[in-house]
Amino acid sequence: MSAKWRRSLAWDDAHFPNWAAPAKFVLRAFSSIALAVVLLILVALYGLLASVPIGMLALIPTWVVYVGVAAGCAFVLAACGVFFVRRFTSKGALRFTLSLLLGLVGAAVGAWFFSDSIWPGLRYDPVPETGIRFFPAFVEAYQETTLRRLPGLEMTELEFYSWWPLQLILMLFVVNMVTATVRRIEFTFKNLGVLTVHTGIVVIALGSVYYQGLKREGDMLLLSGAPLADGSPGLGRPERIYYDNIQTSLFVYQHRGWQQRRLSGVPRYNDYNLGVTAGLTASEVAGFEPAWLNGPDRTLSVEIPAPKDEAARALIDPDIEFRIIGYAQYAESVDDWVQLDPSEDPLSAQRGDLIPLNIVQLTSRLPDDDGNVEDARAFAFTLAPTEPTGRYSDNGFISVEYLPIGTSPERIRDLSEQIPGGAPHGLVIEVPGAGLRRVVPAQIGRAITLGDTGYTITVQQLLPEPPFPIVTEGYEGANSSVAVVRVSRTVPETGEAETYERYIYSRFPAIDQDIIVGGTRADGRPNRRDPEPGLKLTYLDATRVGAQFIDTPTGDTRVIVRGPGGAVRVVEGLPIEAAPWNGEPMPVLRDFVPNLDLWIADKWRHAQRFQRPVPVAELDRQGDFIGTHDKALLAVEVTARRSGSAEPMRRIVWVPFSKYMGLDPSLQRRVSFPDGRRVDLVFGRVQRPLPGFQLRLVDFEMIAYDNRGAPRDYQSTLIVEPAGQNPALEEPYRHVTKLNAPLTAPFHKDGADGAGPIGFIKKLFVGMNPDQFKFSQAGWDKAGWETTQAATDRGEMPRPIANFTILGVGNNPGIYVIALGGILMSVGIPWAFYVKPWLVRRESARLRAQHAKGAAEESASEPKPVVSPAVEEHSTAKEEAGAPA
Amino acid sequence: MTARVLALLIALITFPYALFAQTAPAGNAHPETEAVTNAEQEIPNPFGEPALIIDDTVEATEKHEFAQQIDVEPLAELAVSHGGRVKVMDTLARETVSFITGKGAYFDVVPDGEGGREKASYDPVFTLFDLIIDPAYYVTKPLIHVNYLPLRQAYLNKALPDDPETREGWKKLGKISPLMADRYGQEIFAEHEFEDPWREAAGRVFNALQLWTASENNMLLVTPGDPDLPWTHVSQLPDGHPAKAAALELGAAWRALDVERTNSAIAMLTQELRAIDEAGYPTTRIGLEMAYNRSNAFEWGSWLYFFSLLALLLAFGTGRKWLLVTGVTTLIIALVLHTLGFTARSLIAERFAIQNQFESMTGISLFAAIVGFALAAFRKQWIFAAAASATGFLVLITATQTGIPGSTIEREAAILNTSILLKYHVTTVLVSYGLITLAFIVSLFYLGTHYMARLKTPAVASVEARSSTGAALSAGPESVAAAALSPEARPVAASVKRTLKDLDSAQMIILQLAFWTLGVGILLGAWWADHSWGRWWAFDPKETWALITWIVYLIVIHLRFSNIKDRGLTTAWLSVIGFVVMLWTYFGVNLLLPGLHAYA
Repeated sequence: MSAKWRRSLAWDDAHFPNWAAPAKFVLRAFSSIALAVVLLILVALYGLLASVPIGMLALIPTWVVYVGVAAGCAFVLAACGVFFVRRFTSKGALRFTLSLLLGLVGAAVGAWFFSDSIWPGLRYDPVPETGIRFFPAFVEAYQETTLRRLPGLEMTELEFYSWWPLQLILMLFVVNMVTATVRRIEFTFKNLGVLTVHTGIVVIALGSVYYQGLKREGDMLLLSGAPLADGSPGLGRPERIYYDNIQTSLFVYQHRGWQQRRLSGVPRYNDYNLGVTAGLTASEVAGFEPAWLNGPDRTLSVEIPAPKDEAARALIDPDIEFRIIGYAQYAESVDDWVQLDPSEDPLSAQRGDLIPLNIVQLTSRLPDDDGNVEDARAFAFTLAPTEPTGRYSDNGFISVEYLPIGTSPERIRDLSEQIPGGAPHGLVIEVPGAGLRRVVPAQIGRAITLGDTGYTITVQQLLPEPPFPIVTEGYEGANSSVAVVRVSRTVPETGEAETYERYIYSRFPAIDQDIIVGGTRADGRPNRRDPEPGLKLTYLDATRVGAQFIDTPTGDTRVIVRGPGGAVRVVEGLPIEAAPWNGEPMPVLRDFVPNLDLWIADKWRHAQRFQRPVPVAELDRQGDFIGTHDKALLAVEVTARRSGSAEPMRRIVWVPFSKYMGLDPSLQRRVSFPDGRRVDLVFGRVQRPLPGFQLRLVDFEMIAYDNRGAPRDYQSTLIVEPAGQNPALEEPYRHVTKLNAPLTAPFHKDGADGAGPIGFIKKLFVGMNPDQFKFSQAGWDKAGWETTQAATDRGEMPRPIANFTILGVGNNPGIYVIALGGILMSVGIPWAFYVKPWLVRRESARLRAQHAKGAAEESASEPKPVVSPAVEEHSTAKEEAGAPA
Repeated sequence: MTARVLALLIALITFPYALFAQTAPAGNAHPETEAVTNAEQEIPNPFGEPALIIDDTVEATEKHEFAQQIDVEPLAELAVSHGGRVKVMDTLARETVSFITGKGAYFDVVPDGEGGREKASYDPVFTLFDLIIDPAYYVTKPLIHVNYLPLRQAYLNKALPDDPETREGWKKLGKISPLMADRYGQEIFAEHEFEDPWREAAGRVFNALQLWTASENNMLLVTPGDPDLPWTHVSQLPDGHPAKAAALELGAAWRALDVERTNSAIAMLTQELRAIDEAGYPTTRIGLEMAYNRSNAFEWGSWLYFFSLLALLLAFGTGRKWLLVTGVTTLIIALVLHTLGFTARSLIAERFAIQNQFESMTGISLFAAIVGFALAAFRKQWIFAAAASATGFLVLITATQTGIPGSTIEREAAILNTSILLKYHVTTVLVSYGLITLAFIVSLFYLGTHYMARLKTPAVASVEARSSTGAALSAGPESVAAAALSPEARPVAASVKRTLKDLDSAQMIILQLAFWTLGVGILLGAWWADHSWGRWWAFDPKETWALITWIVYLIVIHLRFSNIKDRGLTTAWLSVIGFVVMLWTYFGVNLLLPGLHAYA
């Protein structure tokens, strides 16, 4: 106990009356080392809970058993060895030598015995579930789940460490340390070490409070410009925005600009309300009930408030409100359809552009894994007859198509024709002017002269897919087999011979066209035209089983079924059946393919395509994306006031995460209200402007080890330039950012503040400014670089280039204060450990000498036993210093 | 028709898009590997395309005799570009053979000439070339190591369903044949693709199979002469190039088991490859890497440390001075060998070689051993020497014998290469880890002394050892420790209490140093993180656990000021706890927790 601490205790006793005993207790608690130890243990436990999955923590008892058994084996056999030696030898060098050797051998044999005989049986194997493991189900379920990831917490590491419990513990620790320092440690030269260390910790704590309060962190993506003539990349466009690392926003656009709405309470690690949709979905009709859809019943309801800034608020109608109602933490978007009430969409109904949807199901009577045979819904086709790309489904073996209402009887008649001889391809040839109509098998190279009509046709190609992508409006991305037929004829008007190639789409006769052979247009492109009306050709593709549904004007459904070998049958009056296996369904397909059949599950007058999340299997998730939102989708409910009704209009949309907003437009989602208003949504990261400056990418280079080894460094050449109304710098300048060599901007560029003390002080002040940012090389366009490197090697490009670079962005306000604290700690520790004991020893020696001298002098007069208080204090201090005796 | 229906169903499964179709999980693919260099186009086998007819393979005896007669030394000393660096063929061969067979060398069973059979071991360089030139020989041989027992059993059950005896033999060998791997791999993988240990082990077998079938892709033996260009494949040399012709001749002679022709082709090939860029050929580096491979410094070092430890312990127990001299001398030799190995590795890797788990372990043990030896020499307390030997032995034996990742020399991550600050940070932290290990060993001495003494009666425990020549012949642990602390200064030995006090003092000397270096190491890391990652403290698991480790020692230091009953004993136990926490920080965090320090 130090003298100061004794004085402090005495002071407490003297100044705290009895009624203030609790206050004295608190003061003494905060002066105690025990409290510091307890608080430090709490910090350690907090770190343990933050970083180690709870499933792994549950493994501790199991490992205690494993290690205990292993150590037991080694110990028992080692002890046997030692016992054996001691039993048969007497004391001496031999006994020791033999004890040591046999002990070691025993331990080794014990370890071997454990690994060979016990461990295989003891070790837990999750597949056959053999061996010992306590709480195996819990361990399995939470093997990668830290406490902070559980529903209800949903925090990142940093958020968890910034949470109030740890902040409180750390605050108490600092108070404890300051109190104990003041009340226990003498403010003397020899105690400079411990005082410096404690001061360092306080300085770090204060610096951290400032730092944490103003810290900004994120990244930004800089795009390269278009390549220049010499192959180098052009100057990239300026970027003033960086994206926050943690905070997210919902960006909404109605008609004048994007509005950023900060999100809070967005989960990160768990799924919520995955099945939420705006109404009946096609997958529900099809009986789609995956386990995840009926998983934990976790709901979510988080308001998304409008921004406070008036100008930003005005970007969205005030009656339109947004709310988070679901979250998929790691999922893929898949298409589905939701049923809409046509009266809910009067504008579409008025325009006549309702989107009908028919759900056709495939049933199977094939035996399952256990050999049982029962009708089962094997597959669902969702067919939108009014959409060329949505009205068919084709996998190369079976083609199911729902023809639009209004398909001409002639077309239906053509499609119902049987191809002679069971050929896989056929042509329906018609020359209306001559009253000629034939159905013929189509074979490549086959020439057919059409009587005396003047037409000769030759089948040139039979293609399973169009030779070039379909670009006709409304048909973009559609697919169809194509027959290319060369037609020779005599033009009746001129009497001249003409040859053209007709492209006949089996599925879309509306986009058939003729390309005149030997003629090009003025712009050099092929001379195309609509099909010449004198000759009508229809291509019948019987290479797969086909079913073409059509609703007749009377409301009946007709199916044209083309089986293997080209056999055709037409089924009339097919009903909608919820569960056809309860009765005897009308046969559609099973005459051609035993055990399989098709039936109509439902028909909707109006539907809308939407995307819903399907969770990615745990095993296939990449750890890097857990908790980052990168693979997440957010379910947003958008409501708007309905005129004349208290019930608002309501839409639900799943919005995928956009790491860099605008970079991938396919991640944007749109909701449309019946009153015609539309809102676009993007789920992304908070955008923050750089204060008074912007960056451009001039060039990027990946520097590899010799001989194209692994990357050694990455460097982005940047231009920092003033921007905005209050530019933070006067002139633009260049900087090359590399790994471990970041750009600092805008206030302190390389050497600009000069060297020496003035420059150093300037640098310190800039270090306190939260508008001073650091840009570190954080990511690059690996694919682009490698592709262009390969092109360069082939001599096609002068050099490799990258399309973008990614920079980590962060400010570090007050970092020098924290650094000062660190330095104080670093120098204080050796003082306390090595300088203080030396000072104490020196002083003790001096005092001892002095005492001896005094004693000698006193012994000459009158000897009396005296213990110097100073000596006593120094002996205590020596112990406190932790110095060796 | 049934077939047609099945085809339909299969087609339905792979339907390009449907209402609730889920895309195939990307992770179903086998794990990526860089064991075989990716080639943009198919590379012909530089030694000629081998015949893949099993009946044509040679007898094991012939193969072994051939292997013993030819000289693969020149091949071993060829430079080859692989895994992002230029290495010697000897290294590539060791890596390849070790990956495929799970052992340092492939062995076969051949008749011993006396009616029995014996193991015949092959040089890894021979095996690598033989796999490329004559892969058919290995089709049915136990070549591929399967580390996961259930997977091994699954292969063997399918391959040898009716032959339990042979199956058991293969099981003990721990290997399967390429034929088994190829024939049953997909089937077994399909059955267990969603079970982690199976996926991992199956991926390893797949990679081994790939090394067996495509190691010729790794023959990037042609120096480009320009550091900006990649090394190229022997097969990419123009037709008629002498090196290309020599490689083809080597393949032909090898397959014919013609010793003379093979040796002459090897000589020709190595000469021609070097002649392509005589001046630029990395001859010095080859010599250094060959010396590093051959010396096996870390493994030998670990055993030298062990003998040093043994000798020192015996010296303490028996009081024989010659044992002390032997122990200290062996420790010095071990230190020299260890230092040479570490230096050679750093030169080969062209960096300070502390940047993966294996390397950091060699570093930790080296730093700890140096500090321990210095303390022993300075204070004349040989317990520090014993602790140094124990640390060196335990750490190196773990690094070399337990498959710690990083034993092959690779290029470092770019982030690690570009900062000098990092070297200081990592080195300081590793020094502190080494010191923690040293302190742990001393604390074990303390605990042993303390508890062994308690086993005896108080009277016995306080008996002073008798010796007139410096020997502590009572052989009790307290006297051993006493002798270890100061065999010369205390000829009459000391009491248990005094010994414990000295041991406490010894453990505190090291712990204080460990506390300081760890604290400084963490702060240097924070500095580097601020500089490189933009945030001085991110609570990355490694950071958190380094802090927790430091907190353990912070508690040690502060507890010594409080009124605890037995400071030395508490310190010793906290030292053990600190060591365990350090192990978790060092291994557990890297291997089990995700974080920014994945390379550490």
